[in-house]
Amino acid sequence: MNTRTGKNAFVLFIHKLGSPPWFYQFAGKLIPWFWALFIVLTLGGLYLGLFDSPADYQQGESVRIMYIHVPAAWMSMLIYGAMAVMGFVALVWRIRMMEILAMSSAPIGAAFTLAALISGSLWGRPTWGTYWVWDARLTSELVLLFLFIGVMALYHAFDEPRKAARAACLLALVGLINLPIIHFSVKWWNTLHQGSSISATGSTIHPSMLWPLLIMAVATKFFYAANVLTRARVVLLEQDVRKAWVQDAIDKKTTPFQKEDSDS
Amino acid sequence: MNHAPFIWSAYGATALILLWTALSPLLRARKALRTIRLLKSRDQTDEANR
Repeated sequence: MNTRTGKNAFVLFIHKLGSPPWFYQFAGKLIPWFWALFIVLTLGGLYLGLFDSPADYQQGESVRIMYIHVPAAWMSMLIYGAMAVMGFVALVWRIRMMEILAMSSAPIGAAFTLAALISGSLWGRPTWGTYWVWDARLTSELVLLFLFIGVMALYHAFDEPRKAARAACLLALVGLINLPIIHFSVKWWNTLHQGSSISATGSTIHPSMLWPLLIMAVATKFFYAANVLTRARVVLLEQDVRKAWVQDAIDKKTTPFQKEDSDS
Repeated sequence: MNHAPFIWSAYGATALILLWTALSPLLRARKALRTIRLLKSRDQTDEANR
């Protein structure tokens, strides 16, 4: 009985998420909390990473770049995966909110990919002696950036937003093949990029370096959550500009970044 | 080799990228809210003139 009630509540929640006015309000309540968690975790992670953790015996001080490079690289892949899954749901069940969330994920994913590439390049110069090599890991990550840009470009190439989202979601699904290539590139090819230090079986990183890395990795999840919800709310405002619920939301003097005053 | 310029450049570039990613939807929202308010005031003016 309890399982069934729980399942019904979950189905109801999913249905509610598909409703733009409900989503707009619900996201508005979550966004400030996500930003607050991101800021607190980032400050804690940066303090530990920059001031409290030791320099690496091989890499020296440049190991501190890891605390932004690795979380950014992880986020680039996670966001692409999330975008493709949401794109798949949007294509199969034609859920508009999923299209919007998938398309809102693309610029954030592109930003994290760019951050991973730039920070990795700046780490590579003192460690490898070069900013860039056409190594399998680096090249496949660059391809990921192009995929994000391609999805964004295709989405903006159509006048009709739902048609645009469907085409872009399809491209996102095709590009999914790049994720295992990025992940396994360090195993499949001889690369300059080192293999994974963290896996399902454990970590080879000392706890003093592992903690700031994990804290920063969690912080970036909250950045994504806050940002994608904010972007989705803005897209709803832009697309539903003539709808009554948008007028109601504005009358309540709520912006996409403010918490709603009531549940009505 | 002094690693500090590489570390601060990496942190600076990442901060700028994430800051722009966080702020750009706010600029779009301001524009959208302005459009919504403009349309509403036009509708109200049209109704009053009828």
